[in-house]
Parts: sequence; C-alpha cells; structure tokens
Amino acid sequence: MANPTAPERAAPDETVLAVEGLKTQFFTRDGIVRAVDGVSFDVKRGETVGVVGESGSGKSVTALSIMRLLAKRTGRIVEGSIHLVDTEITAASERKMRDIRGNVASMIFQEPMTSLNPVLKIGYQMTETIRVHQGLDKAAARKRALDMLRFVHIPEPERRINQYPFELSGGMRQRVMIAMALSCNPQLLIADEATTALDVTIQAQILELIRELREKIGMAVLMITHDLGVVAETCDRIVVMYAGKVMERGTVREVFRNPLHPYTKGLLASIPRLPEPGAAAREARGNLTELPGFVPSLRNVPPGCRFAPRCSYAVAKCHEESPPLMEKAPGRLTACFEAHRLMENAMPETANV
Amino acid sequence: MSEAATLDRPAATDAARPLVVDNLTKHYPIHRGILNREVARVHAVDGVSFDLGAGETLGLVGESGCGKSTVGRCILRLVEPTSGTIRLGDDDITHLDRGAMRPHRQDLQAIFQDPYSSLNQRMRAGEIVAEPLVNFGQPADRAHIASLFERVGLRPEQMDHYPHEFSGGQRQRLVIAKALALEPSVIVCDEAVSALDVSVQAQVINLLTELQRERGIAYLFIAHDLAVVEHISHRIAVMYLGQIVELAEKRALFEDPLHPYTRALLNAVPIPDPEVTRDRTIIGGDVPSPLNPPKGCRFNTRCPLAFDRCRSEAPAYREVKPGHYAACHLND
Ligand SMILES: Nc1ncnc2c1ncn2[C@@H]1O[C@H](COP(=O)(O)OP(=O)(O)OP(=O)(O)O)[C@@H](O)[C@H]1O
Ligand SMILES: Nc1ncnc2c1ncn2[C@@H]1O[C@H](COP(=O)(O)OP(=O)(O)OP(=O)(O)O)[C@@H](O)[C@H]1O
Ligand SMILES: [Mg+2]
Ligand SMILES: [Mg+2]
Repeated sequence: MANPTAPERAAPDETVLAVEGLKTQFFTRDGIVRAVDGVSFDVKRGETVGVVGESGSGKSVTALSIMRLLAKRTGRIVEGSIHLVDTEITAASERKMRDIRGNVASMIFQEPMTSLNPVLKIGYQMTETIRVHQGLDKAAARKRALDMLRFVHIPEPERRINQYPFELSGGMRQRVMIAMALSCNPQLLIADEATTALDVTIQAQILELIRELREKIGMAVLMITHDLGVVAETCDRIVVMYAGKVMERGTVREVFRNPLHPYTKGLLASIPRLPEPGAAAREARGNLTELPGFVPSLRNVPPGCRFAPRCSYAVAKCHEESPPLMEKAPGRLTACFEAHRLMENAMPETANV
Repeated sequence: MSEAATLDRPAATDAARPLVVDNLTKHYPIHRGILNREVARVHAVDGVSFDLGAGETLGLVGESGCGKSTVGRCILRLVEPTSGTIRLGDDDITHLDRGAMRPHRQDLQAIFQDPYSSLNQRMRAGEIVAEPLVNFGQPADRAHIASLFERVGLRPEQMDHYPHEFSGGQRQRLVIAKALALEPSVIVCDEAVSALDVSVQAQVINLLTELQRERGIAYLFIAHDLAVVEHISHRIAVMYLGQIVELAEKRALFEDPLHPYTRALLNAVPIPDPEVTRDRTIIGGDVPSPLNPPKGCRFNTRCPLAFDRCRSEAPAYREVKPGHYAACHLND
C-alpha cells in the first residue's frame, strides 16, 4: 500500500463532509451574485457523490467554499455551515485551513496546466507539497513522490519526476495532479471537471484510477461534472444544482430511473445517447427533447422557483414562492411543489416492486 | 414516414456530391535555428478521403489532435493543403487564393465552437447576419433578416442588440443565421455545439437537423462528443493520428465496428444510465506524437490486438463491406 502514514480516518459510514444551508455570494460592482443559495448535502467515507448542473449553477463555487479558496475581496460565505471531518470550515482560521488543504481535503481541477507551475519540474513540485504538509526530509519526500507516481500508474516515474509539466500529455498531467492531491492522504477528494478536458479514452483511464484509489484507501470523493455519463458510471449519490440551488438529491440509480424534479427530468431527456454496444439498430432519430429558454442571471433573482420560467409543470405558486428541498421518499429529496405529478407518472413501473 | 427516411439516408448520395475530398494531406513544417531550417513535420492530416452527399451529415470524430479541425480548415481554405484535392460541386478549390475562392464562399460556410470570437462585437446582430448578403450584393432588407432570425429561434427585435447581450446558445443561433443567409450547400461545423450547456445544446442540434431537412444542406460535423455525432450524423468517419481508420453508415459503425480503435472509442464513452453495466476494457497509453507517427499501423502502440505485421506494414484503407471502409489487417 502506498499510504504508509495514513492518519486516523473517519470510521466506515461516517460522514466526512456535511454542507448545511450554504450561501456564498460575490459582492461585485454591479451588485450581489447569489452564486450558492442554501445548498445542503453530505458525503460519507468511501462514497462518491456527484454534483451536476449546467454552467453557472454554482458547482465550482460550492467546492471553492469547502476549500475556502474563494476570490478574497469579493467572495464570501454569508450563511450556513461546512463540517469537514472534525472542523467547522466556515469558522476555521487561515492557518487551520492551510493544514486542512492537502491533508484532509484535496482538490483537482479541469486544466492541470494551470495548477502546475510550468517552470518547475514535476518532482520539485511534488516534494515541496509533501515536505510542507508531512514534514519529511528531502530524500523521504522524493521517495514518497515516486511511490505516488507509481500509485497512479505513471510509467517510468524516475524519468517523469525530472520533467517539466509541458513535457507530459494531458492525461499524464492529470495523473500527476491526482498523485499530488493524494500524497498527503486526504479523506476527501474534490474533482472539479477533472476529466472534462481529456479525451474519452484517457478520461476512462482517469475515472478507473479514481475508482481504484477510492476502493484502496476508502476516501470520499466529490465529483463535480456536467457530464451525466460520468455521474452514472462513477457516483453513488447525486446532487442536481440549478442557478445556485439544489433541485434534487438521491441515489444515482433512483434519480436516473425516476427523477423527481422537472429540471432533472428535462436534463436527462435532452442528452443524446449512444445505442448500447452490440444492441439492435435504432430507428431513425427524431428530435431531442428541448428544455426551452436558458439559465437565468444570478444578479436580480426573481421570487419563486428559479426553474419555473422554463418549467412545463409550473403552477402559479411556483412563480411566487421558492420551494424548499423536501424528502418525498426515503433518501429522495426534491425542491418542487409539483413533484407528486412526477412520482405518479412513475407509479405503473414501480407499483409491483 | 418519408421524412424519417430522408433523415436517415440522404436523398442522392451519388447524384449530388457537393463535397469530395481525395487523399488530403497537411504537414506543418517546424523550423528551428538561425537558418530557419525545417527540422520536423507535424503529420496533422495524412491521406484523408471522403465525400459528402447533398442533405447528408458526415460526422468526423477522434481524439484531440488527430487532425479533425485541420481537415475542416483545409476545406474552408483557411490552411493550405500539402497535397490532395478538394472539390466543391464541380470545382477544384484545393489551391484557390482568397479572390478566386470568393464566389465559392456562398456555397461553403462554417460554424465554429466559440461563437463569441467569431462575431464582431461592435456590430448589431442584424448587421452581422446581413453582412454576407451585402458582401455578395444580395437583397438584405430588414424583413428578410427578420425572417432568418425567426427561423433560428431569435426574436426579430433582437436584431438591434449587440452580441454581448445574447446567451451562449443565442449567439450560436446568430452564427447559424449568418451561415444560412447565403443558402450554402455545405456547412463545416467544427465543435459547433461543444461549448453549450446540454439543455441548450439540444435546441441547437434540433435546429441544425430541421434546417437540413428543409434546405438539403450538407454538414461536415466535426466533434469529439460521440453521442452528439451519433445523433446528428448519417455516416461517421473515425480519425486517429491524421488518418481515417474507419468510415461507415452510422448503424454499421455502431453495430459492427471493424477497427479496434473505433471499438475502444465506443467503449470509453460514459453511458448516462446507471443500470447499464458493460465490459470496461480500457485501452492504455496516450496518442503518440504526430511529429513521429509509429511505423506500420499508427494505432499499433495502443492496440490490444496488434501483431507483427501491424508494426511493420501500414494497413490499406479499403472498402471492407459495401459502404464500410476500414484500415486494419484483421479484416484481410
Ligand atoms: N469571482 C467571482 N465573482 C463574481 N461572480 C462569480 C465569481 N465566481 C463565480 N461567480 C458566479 O457564480 C456563479 C456560479 O459559478 P460557478 O463557477 O460555481 O458555476 P459552475 O456550476 O461551476 O459552472 P461551470 O459548469 O461553467 O464550471 C456564476 O454565475 C458565476 O458567474
Ligand atoms: N499551425 C500549426 N502548426 C503546427 N502544428 C499544428 C498547427 N495546427 C495544428 N497543428 C497540429 O496538427 C495536429 C492536428 O490538429 P487539429 O487541430 O486538426 O486536431 P483536432 O483533431 O481538431 O483536435 P481537437 O479535438 O483538440 O480540436 C495536432 O498535433 C496539432 O498540434
Ligand atoms: Mg465550474
Ligand atoms: Mg479541433
């Protein structure tokens, strides 16, 4: 096992991350951006939770809030709590946060080139991180870096460690990022569109790696993506966000089978799907189901449900009042006044279960 | 019924072929040193051939850097091909200069990924769409532009707005309206919906499909998203390291892929259905450098089925079954 120095870990089933009523806002010259507006979810040890939603829905701001990496002058957590293992993030000192980043929670981003320093060798960047966080000496840190590179299946680690980021392919750079992120045994890995910029064959390799690492070291993963395919293949539970709010939460299986929010339903219907490999030919394709309109601005938020202007289920109340996230079935939460109509639709299929 | 039939199979693949590309090659020379000597060549596109029927969509897929955009840019005459020929209708446009290319522009339009950079920020939306008509001395009255706006799902009063006032999906509609204005027979779409959110992407894909049905436009649809390409295309070409490794009617390609790379690609696409469990044979390694492509079959370094011959002899790209082309020794 490549993690000999594993610290005390959360027990199985234990909650690693609990976000409660999180509100994060940006105070800009043109007004307040309510980027995250009352978001709640949790992630347990060994579990992968997917956060999906369209561009601007607040996925990255949620992640940056957890790591306390918001734009310093404008971004602020104004309400709610973030519990990470045994620390209340919203109240933690900057010093405590430096300790937490890397040691307790790590984050990997879409474009590793921007998070790796282009003028420093891979090995130097890795050993510096390890030395800062784990207090190892140079030789021990180098050995640990090599172990980690091997752990993420980088061929010829002794050669790679002496290379610069530009000498590596995109997939290889993302592996290095993951190796760095895992080098201090975090209990939570946040992957923000970590495979979006990669080719599908390389994406498949990286997703496989994350799955493998999760099983080996039992870490919790928060997988932020707009790709519902990635969620279906890697996540246990899903959080669907829209315009800064959680629309729906549940297990991936149940949410995909019977979405309880019209937005989730629309999203699932609007993606083109490949035929199953080897399956019989499909008939000529008709039109894709469209969600009319587009994502609203987060500056002057009107009252009511944020999805209402695009929603075919909306009734008068939806334009006046914001629906709270409510548990409609065990483990199934949705923020929709009309959710019962979606449930009823699903009744015939589930009646005899 | 008849509508579905035309969608699935182009009306006249043989009679009308608005675009024919034959053995297209583009090498980018790399120069170094004070003598500016050529030290290497990027084999961006190496012997690519295909044709496009009227009203047909040919999807062009493959991993980053395999040469998809270079093919599109050669056709659009934005880069100079190293060799090969490109025919638009009855004319050889391979080496036409800007002036000589001008009359053909009416027939050949493009839609790129980033609508923001392809729109002049200081022009009003209506002027942007009217511009090609004005350039070609065609009527560009407000009523005509308004009808184009309506056709792509924009409101006529938006003609007076500037690009920054539009959302990403609306800007892409604007680009489509502009591309449509001259009623081209061929549109090269390079990652035309890739930057859009899924819900908006569906709107734009539907619009492109409807316009094709109405006007018989042919699309060369370049994209890395296989599900999108599968949805919109009639035939699909798969590229790897500058070459087409397989080309077929989309059904044949999905039901019976004849190249191991096509199979690997199809296998790697995440399926948005948690109930589907499949054989996840993931190919390893990275795409080799196009500066120095592998000897023999270019895929041999990653191919799970490669044998000796694959490492020494490049497989011929040939018609293995009617209309189904592939380049793999395993089909011999
Ligand atoms: N530094 C900032 N200043 C002002 N507004 C910001 C800032 N960062 C983010 N926002 C706004 O907050 C909202 C949420 O942004 P966020 O980056 O979380 O979206 P996202 O869901 O990650 O989208 P994407 O899929 O495009 O990455 C957006 O409206 C965005 O414009
Ligand atoms: N102007 C140029 N000079 C040198 N090399 C180039 C140039 N333009 C492209 N290339 C190289 O040619 C190859 C093919 O590039 P191209 O942009 O056609 O790929 P692509 O398939 O469109 O990739 P993507 O999916 O990333 O858009 C790449 O290796 C690229 O680096
Ligand atoms: Mg983001
Ligand atoms: Mg390209």
